[in-house]
Formats: sequence, C-alpha cells, structure tokens
Amino acid sequence: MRLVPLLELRGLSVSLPAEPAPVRALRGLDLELLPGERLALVGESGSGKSTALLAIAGLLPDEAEITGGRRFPALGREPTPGRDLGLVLQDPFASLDPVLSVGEQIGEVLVAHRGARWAEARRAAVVLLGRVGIAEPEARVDDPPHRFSGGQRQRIAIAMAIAAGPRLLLADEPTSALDTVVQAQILDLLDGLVREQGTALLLVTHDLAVAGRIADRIAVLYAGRLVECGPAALLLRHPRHPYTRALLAIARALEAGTGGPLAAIPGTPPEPGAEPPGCSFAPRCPLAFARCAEEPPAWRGHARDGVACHRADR
Amino acid sequence: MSGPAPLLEVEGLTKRWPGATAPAVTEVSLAVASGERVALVGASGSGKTTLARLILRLVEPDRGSIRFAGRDLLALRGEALRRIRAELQLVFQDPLAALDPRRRVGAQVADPLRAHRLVPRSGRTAAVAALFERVGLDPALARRYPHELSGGQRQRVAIARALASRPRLLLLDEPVAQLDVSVKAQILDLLERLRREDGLAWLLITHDLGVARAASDRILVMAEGRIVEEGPTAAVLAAPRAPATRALVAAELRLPPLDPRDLSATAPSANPRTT
Amino acid sequence: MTDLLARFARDRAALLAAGVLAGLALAAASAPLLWPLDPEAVGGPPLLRPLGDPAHPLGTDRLGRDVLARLLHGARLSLTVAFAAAFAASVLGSAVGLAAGLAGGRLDELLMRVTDAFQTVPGFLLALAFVSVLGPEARSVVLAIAASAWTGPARLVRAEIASLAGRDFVLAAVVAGLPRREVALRVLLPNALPPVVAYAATSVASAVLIEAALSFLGLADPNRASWGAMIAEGRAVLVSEPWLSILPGLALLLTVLAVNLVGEGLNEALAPRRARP
Repeated sequence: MRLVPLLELRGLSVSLPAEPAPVRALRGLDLELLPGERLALVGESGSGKSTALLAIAGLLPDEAEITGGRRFPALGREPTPGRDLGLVLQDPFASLDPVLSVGEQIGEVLVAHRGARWAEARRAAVVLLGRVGIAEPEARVDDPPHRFSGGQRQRIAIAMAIAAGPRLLLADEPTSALDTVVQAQILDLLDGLVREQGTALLLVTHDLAVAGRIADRIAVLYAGRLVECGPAALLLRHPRHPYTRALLAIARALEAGTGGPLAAIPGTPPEPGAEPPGCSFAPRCPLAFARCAEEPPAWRGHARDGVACHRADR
Repeated sequence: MSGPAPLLEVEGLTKRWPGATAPAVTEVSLAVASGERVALVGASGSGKTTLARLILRLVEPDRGSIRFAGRDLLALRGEALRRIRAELQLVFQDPLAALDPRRRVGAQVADPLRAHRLVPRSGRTAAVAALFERVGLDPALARRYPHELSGGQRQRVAIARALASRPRLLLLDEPVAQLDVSVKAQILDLLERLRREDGLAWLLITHDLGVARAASDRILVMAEGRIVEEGPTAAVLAAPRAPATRALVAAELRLPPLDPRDLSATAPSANPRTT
Repeated sequence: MTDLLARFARDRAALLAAGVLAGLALAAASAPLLWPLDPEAVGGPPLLRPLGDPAHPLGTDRLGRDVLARLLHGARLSLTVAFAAAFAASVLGSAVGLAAGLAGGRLDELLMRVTDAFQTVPGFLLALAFVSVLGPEARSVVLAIAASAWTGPARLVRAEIASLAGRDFVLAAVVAGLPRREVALRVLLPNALPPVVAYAATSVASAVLIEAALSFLGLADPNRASWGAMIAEGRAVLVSEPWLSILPGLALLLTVLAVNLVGEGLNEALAPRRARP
C-alpha cells in the first residue's frame, strides 16, 4: 500500500518579476514528499531552490507567474502557513520582530492557529523555548530578540515554526549564517524535533554535508531544473550526475585537505533566461558530448529517485 | 627557528570595547613569516575580526605591539601609516558591503593605484584591466556597479583591489564564507595562484576548517579572545588538544566516507546511450 | 547618470511633473520673448475679464496691468528665489553636516546646538525677521529662506555620515590608502547626499510658499510682480473678479505639486540599488 504523499509538485515553473523582463527561476520541477520524510533541496545561487520553497509555502509575490501543480494530498486542502506549514529562514537577525518579546512571538502562533488564550500561550512558549535549548526559559520568555545571539534567535525561530505542530517544516538555509559549532547544534536540534513530532522536513541548502547530516533524500537543482534525486546516503556515495559529482569532489577535497587545486568547476551557471539549449550544465560538464548541447536530457528513473543526464545509464 | 625576522609580529595585543564586560582580544601574540600561509580559526565571537582590525590599525589596541616588516606599526601616524597600507591589505568578508555602491568597480580597484601614486593617470585604465584579468574577470566589467555583479565576481573585484598595490601580507576575513561551494573552490584556487605569483603571505580568518585546510600551512585557534592552540594545520586538525579546537573539529560535518570499491561504480560509463 | 534618468522615468507622475516644471521654467525664463508686455505697465483698461480681449488673454488687474505678463514674471521670481534658496540651504547645510559628522566630539556638539537654535524658530518667522532687517529685494528673500532651511540638510548629512562611517566600504577605502580628505569627499559625501537631494525638493516647495507668503504680506519687493502679491491685490475684488486671486493661486498650486512629485521621483531613483540574492 502506497503512502499518500504530503506534498506533490508536478511541472512547477515559476517566473519572477524583474527588470527588464521576468525571469524563469524554476523550470518544470517534479517533486514528492511523504509524511515524516526529510528532503534536502541542494543547489547554488540561481538554481531556483529558494523559489521552490517559497512556491510551496505560497509566499511568492503576487506578480510571480506560477504554472504546474502543487498539491498536498495527505492534507486534503490548501495548507495554512503557521498551522500546517512551519517556516524557518536564513537570516536570524531579520526573522524576528524586534519590538515584541520572544514569548509574544511564539505565543502569537498558538493564539492564531490553536485558539489558545494568552496565558496558556505564554506557558506553552516557555516550554517550547526549553525544547529548543534556550537556557532558563522562564526568565527569558519576555526578553526582546536583540538580547539573544544569532544561534539562539534561530532556535527561537524554530520554536515559532513548530509551535502549532505543523505537518511540514520548510527551512531555507537555516544555518548558513551561523558558524560551524552553532550550525552543528542547530542541525542536531532540527533532527531531534522532526523525528519526535514526525514532521516532514524540506530543507534548502547549498552545502551537501548539511544535506547528508539531516536528509533522507536529496534533490539537486541546477539552473531551475532538477538534475538528480535519490536517497541521501546513496547519492553522496554514488552521485550519477556530473554536477553532483563535481560538487562532491570539491566538498571532499576541502575535507581531506590534501593541498593542490580544488577541482573547481570552470565557468559559471547560466543567467536565468539565458540558459543554453539542451542540457544547462553542458558548457561546464567534463562529460558533455554533441547530444548534450542539442537535447535537454530526459528524467531517468522515477519521481523519488532518478537523474537527468544523457550519460547516466540507470 | 632562525632566519629572517617574521614579516608580521604581534605581541600581547589586548583590546576591550568600551562598555563590554570581557575583552575582545586578550594577550594575543602571533607571527607570520614572509610567504607563509597562516589560518586563524575560531567560533564567532572569538575575537578574530577584532584582531584583524587591530592589525590593520583600523582600531587602536589597549596594550601590545605590532611589528610589520621590522617597523613598529603602532608608532606610525598620518601619512606614514597611510603609505604602509600599500604593503598590508585586507579582503573583507562581505564583498557587497566592502564595495561602495555608488562607484563603478573599476574606479574602486584603481583606488590604491591612485592613493599610492603607483601608476600615472594615463596608465590607470590599462593597469585596472590587467588586474581584472589577473583575477579572472573580463575587463569590461570595470564599468559596472557592485550590485550588477554576482557574489563571486564581487569577491574577485575585492581581491583585485587588495592586490593592486602588491602587498606583502594579505589579511582575509572569511573571504569565501558567503559564496557557493563551486565559487568557493574557484576563489580559493585563484588566491593560491596569485599568492604563488606574488610571493604573498597571508593570515586567513575563517570558521570553516575545510577552508583552513585548503589554504594554510599553519593554524592558530582562537577562543574568547585568546590563542589557545597553534601548529601545522594538518597536525592540529587531525589531533586537536585544546577544548575549543576539539569543539570545532567535532562540529565539522563530514560526508559519508567513500569505500574504495565505490569508486569504480561512480566512473562515467564508456559508452553513452545512443537512443 | 543615464541609469538614474531611466529609473526616474519609470515613475509616470514624476515624469509628468518634471515636464510641467520644465515647461514652467522655460516659460519663466523666456517671459519677455514669449509675452512682451511689461508686467508693471498700465497697458489696458482695469479689471478686464480673461478670454475677453486677445491683447490681454488673462485679463487685467485693478491697475490695468496685464495678468498673463504678471503671472509669467511672477513665475520667474518664484522659481529663481525658490531654487536659489534651496541650493544655498543644501550647500550650507551639507557643509555643516559633513563637518559635524566627521569631526565628532566638541565641534559636533557645537554645530548641532547652533542647528537646534535655528530650528526652534519657525521658518516663516525667521524669514520675516531677516527680510525686515535686510530689506525686500529678492536677494534678501533668498537669504531669509535659506537661513532656516539649511538645518534640514545639516541633520540629514550628519546622520548619514554617522551611520556610514563604520561601514565596510568606508573602512575599505581607508585600507586602500586613500587620504582622509578623499575618503570624506569621494566616498562618504556621495553616499550621504541622496537624501539631501530628495529633501531639496521639499525645500524648493516650501521656499515657493514662503516667498509667496512674504509677498502676500507686502514684505517683498513691491516693484516686482509676484504671485503672492497678486493674490493679495485680488482680495479687494474677490467677489466680483475672483480670477485675479484664483489664477496666481492655481499657479502656486501647480508649481508646488510638480516640485513635490519630482522630489518623490528623485527619492525613488536615487535609492541605493539592492543586489541580486
């Protein structure tokens, strides 16, 4: 018996308003997420990963043109942000209201989505602060955000995101602005929380090691398209797409520190709107041949595990 | 170690920001030899950036001494201080913040050339073009404004500006932290190539151990304003002793190890599909 | 520069307003060529209605002077005085703000207290006082208006400099070896000026109104045609010949509105560009 997916994207394409003409940030994304599953969307700037997350959350600007399907079959209805979806964003210094206390901000979520009254919401906020690792929550619940460090603010943002018990937690580079020690702590926290609550997690990151730490499955985006997808452990050891391989080669070179050039990928990703015909990665790909420049590679495999490359033989 | 005096010698540097409970930097001593690659690592708040600003005389220390190329850096003032900046440069962490949003990038790269009268006015455009090419940028980009460039391009511009006066020592404050993985690799490779060409020494500040490994031979670990461990990079990171170093190494996320048997499976297939 | 103009052009209202203002300025500048009648000469019968006699398309006032000529010459006066005053105020204010922002410490304190003193006196009253002492010529009116208007730019520039001083790109300029004077003039000032330029538009608008008010009260040069004075003169016959006050009033309205719209457009166009994520 197949599990009903929590999130299903079919051919999702997004054009964002820009000068002089709108740009296509996402070109036909197919993705599936089961309840309780943890998926990492990996890509670099311009890959469309943040756009995908915002599209899922329903937070794209009104002028954005969205085509393709976005459904939540397991929910049976449009998700309510805050209640069904939790959101954690990259910049811990911008995501909290500087004027309200942290307790009020967490409490707001409960009052709005769980019909709690302020007194119980405040008590629940204290409990949540403790769960996300803020020391002495009872004493700190009325403090404003500026009394907390970047790492602590991110913990508070996570508390707000999970307060109403959402089915899906969306996180956009939640640790990129933090140093490695704090990053490890925040990832441990996220890992523990989503396991405990059985929340599904969609985490956007440019760091494959972060993806490997916390995701069951990894989806790699390049120039607005999905190029590879599969179980995390397998993908990190047997990458099939040349782009994934190149990224992993760099990551491993940095880890090993054996000196010498880092096997950087020559060139840069195409400008949105100026993608070459055929495979978008072809101009930079060491394995490219004639067909790559003419014909965009078809997806080989199925929705949850596959690769788009003329060279892959799966 | 015998031999010529170190290029940079810092002794007992201390700085407490007014109103702070604890000093940002306490009794820090370090040395960088000519042509040496030194990394300064630590968690945020460990005092690394303050130390960089102290060394560059952007901030005055409470106590301590800094000797650069044999001269007492703290004793220099006014014009003498301005002139020595040609030899001691800095690449900032956020390339967007480090470039004037209202001036074209070419003009900003030309600043050190103008300030230190290194090139006459007639030769400046060519000199800027040459610098752009050195860092792998199309000289036509010199006419652009910072917001019209990508993150990687901006950092290359910042590097071009830092190298314009042919410094002997380069301070790099998290030079690749804001960049994507593939751009990170490109910039690190670029920096290494330039360093070899110019015989540069550098002090690279980072919280990313991978960057430290790739770009340094000696490492200094900072915690709470003090240097807590130092030594050859590979050795220190392989066998950390100080608690702060251990914490950094433990926090590093590692990819699942590659089994040698896996390598053959990931090799590209010899015969591409011909459907 | 072309970039700036392009951004400005996207705001339709501002573009239209700029057009109107340019047209007004042109008309004012070429007044004697455009409509060669002398605004002070008694050229026709008094209180002629507008659109009655082709020799006086907008009619004549109580003394028989041509209204159109007086409007055009009044435009000249208003616009010259307003722009001159706003310019003087901006330059003086920016200089004070720059000095205060860079120097800090005691000089900053001193300059800000002086600014406070000038700001506590309402602009119009200060202008009144200056004009009473200096006399009613256009030059004194410019000085009078600038005397209170300079405080706005001074505060703006000082605040911008204070917030800019610690920014990375300013430190980068220092590290690049630029001498202090160059850092101040090439890096700090150009980044501090845009709010002043946008503010200058409101200065111009309020200068127009102060000048009109001064001449309405009869404190400006009685030998020059001025919209304020025209409105004042029309009061006596407001019921029977309302156009004598309404026409200059409309001119004032149009000018101030145009200036404000252009100012808003400039503000938008000058805002620092945000980079791609």
